[in-house]
Amino acid sequence: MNIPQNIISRLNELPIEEVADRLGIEVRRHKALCFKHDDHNPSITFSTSKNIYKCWVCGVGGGPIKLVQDKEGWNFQEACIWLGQKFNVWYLDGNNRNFPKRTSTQKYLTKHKEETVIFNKEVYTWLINNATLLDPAKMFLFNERHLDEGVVKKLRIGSVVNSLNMVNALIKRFGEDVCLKTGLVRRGNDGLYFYFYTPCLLLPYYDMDGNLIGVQSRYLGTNEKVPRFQFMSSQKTRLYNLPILNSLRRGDKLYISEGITDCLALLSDGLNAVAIPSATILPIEDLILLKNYELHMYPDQDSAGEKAFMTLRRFFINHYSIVRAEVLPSGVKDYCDYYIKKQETNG
Amino acid sequence: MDESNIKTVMDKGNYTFDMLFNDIQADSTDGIEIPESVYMSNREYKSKLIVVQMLLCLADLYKAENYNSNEKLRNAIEIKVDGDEQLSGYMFFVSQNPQFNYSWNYMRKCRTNYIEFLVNSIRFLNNVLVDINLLTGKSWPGNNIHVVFHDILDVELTSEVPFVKSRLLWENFYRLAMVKSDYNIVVKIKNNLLKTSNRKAPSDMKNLIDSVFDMINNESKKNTEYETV
Repeated sequence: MNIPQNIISRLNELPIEEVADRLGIEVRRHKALCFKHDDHNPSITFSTSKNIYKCWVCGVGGGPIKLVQDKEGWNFQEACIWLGQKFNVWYLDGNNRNFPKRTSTQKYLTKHKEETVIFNKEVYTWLINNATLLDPAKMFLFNERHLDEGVVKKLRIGSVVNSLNMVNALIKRFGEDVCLKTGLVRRGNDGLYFYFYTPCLLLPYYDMDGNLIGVQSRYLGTNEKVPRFQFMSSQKTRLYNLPILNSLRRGDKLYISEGITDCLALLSDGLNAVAIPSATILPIEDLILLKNYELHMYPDQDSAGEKAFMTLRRFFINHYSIVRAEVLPSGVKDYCDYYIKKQETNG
Repeated sequence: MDESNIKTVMDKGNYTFDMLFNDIQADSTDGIEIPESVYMSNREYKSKLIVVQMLLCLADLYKAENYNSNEKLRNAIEIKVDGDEQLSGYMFFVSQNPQFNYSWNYMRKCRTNYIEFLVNSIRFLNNVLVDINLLTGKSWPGNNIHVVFHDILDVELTSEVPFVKSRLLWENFYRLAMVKSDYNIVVKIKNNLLKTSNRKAPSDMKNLIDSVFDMINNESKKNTEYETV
């Protein structure tokens, strides 16, 4: 099987640190522990400008495809297929491709194991219905971020503060087996634990028909080693806030944001907005639904933001639509930052 | 030429395909100024934009420094186009039109010509980018200096980073399909023609820049003499 050259080029353009993250490699300040040798001080350096990695001890290194090959011990084609699927660049034979088992990784923080889990809509709906907004979440959303209460309520954002209570409640309601299969509850050396790091916000994803299709968490604690966002979904990543499309007419103004936090700020500012999960993940089946709206974006003021805008622009031009870039004032890094400053200035 | 006229790359950064595309499509996104002359509809404009985007992406992918010979570039493009299964499917579909007598021959010839078109336009765009970066390496006196490449791209030299503003001459869009390895360059001040040249190699561009500078310098000397008299 030949992999088209343009696909190989695009795969090698995927941000190397994002690829590393997907492989379970903990990257901090462009460094990570080497997965090829017994490493205790980070020997791998990532160059985001050259989009390569290198271990200065054992010498392994290269671009994104090579990283997947080295980390998982796969051949070139397997690495390309895996990358293509993970980043929505390219698919082969749907989702039936069986990959060799992924290897374990040394990390700064033991991440939860990747297991095949089933997104049980009933369990997750119950979770969302019972994850009421508690004080740490209210503090974050309304005092720090100045978000609109109506927006938060409409999007059914909830929170979990005590993970043990939540695990017990879930098991009492659905039983241990079901909870383990959904991936919400996991078994570790010290017993059962909740998948999402707590305290956290829970942000539900719905499709246009209002079906729950995924849940993303936003960690609210102070442990810097904990990932800020975690995601569980029934299918590959989708756009956030799809139901808003039901209330829009062709040609209406719609903002696309990079990440949920900017989306919440835009919505709180009275603008129509949806969010792509990150700068590198484009849910193209959902994005195509947006082509008949007047699309705008405030790119984040960094290279990843610029890249996200360019990728979106390219996508939409190919579908006869144009995304207009709006410029943020200097000194703010993204729309959320701009919104907070604006709210604080206005008192 | 005065050495002070030479700016370093460090001062300005290079003009890239991304910047070029930003300039080209800024017409539609900045002031919603989709060319008013209505020589094309909005939909036609968007179709053309797709082609421009595709060509610039290819030109960026097959950069001149890596594909320095025409043969190497042609081989790369041939592999890409011949290996495009969707294009083959499209060729079959179009060839089922009775006008083509249900024959694939015409489409196969078209594919070969298409490869040539891609090679020529990629080469052209790469060369234009090299030329633009040569232009921005100089400090140009005054404003309103335009350099027009093959009646396709109008590059205005400005005093602000990135020192150029490009505009595609949409009315001459068709010329993209006919561009070859050499092309015309016209230098103008406002609408007054200053110099024209046929560009076959980067040295032609350098010579053109030198002669334009000489012309501008001579002109300003003359003006100074008149004032003195």
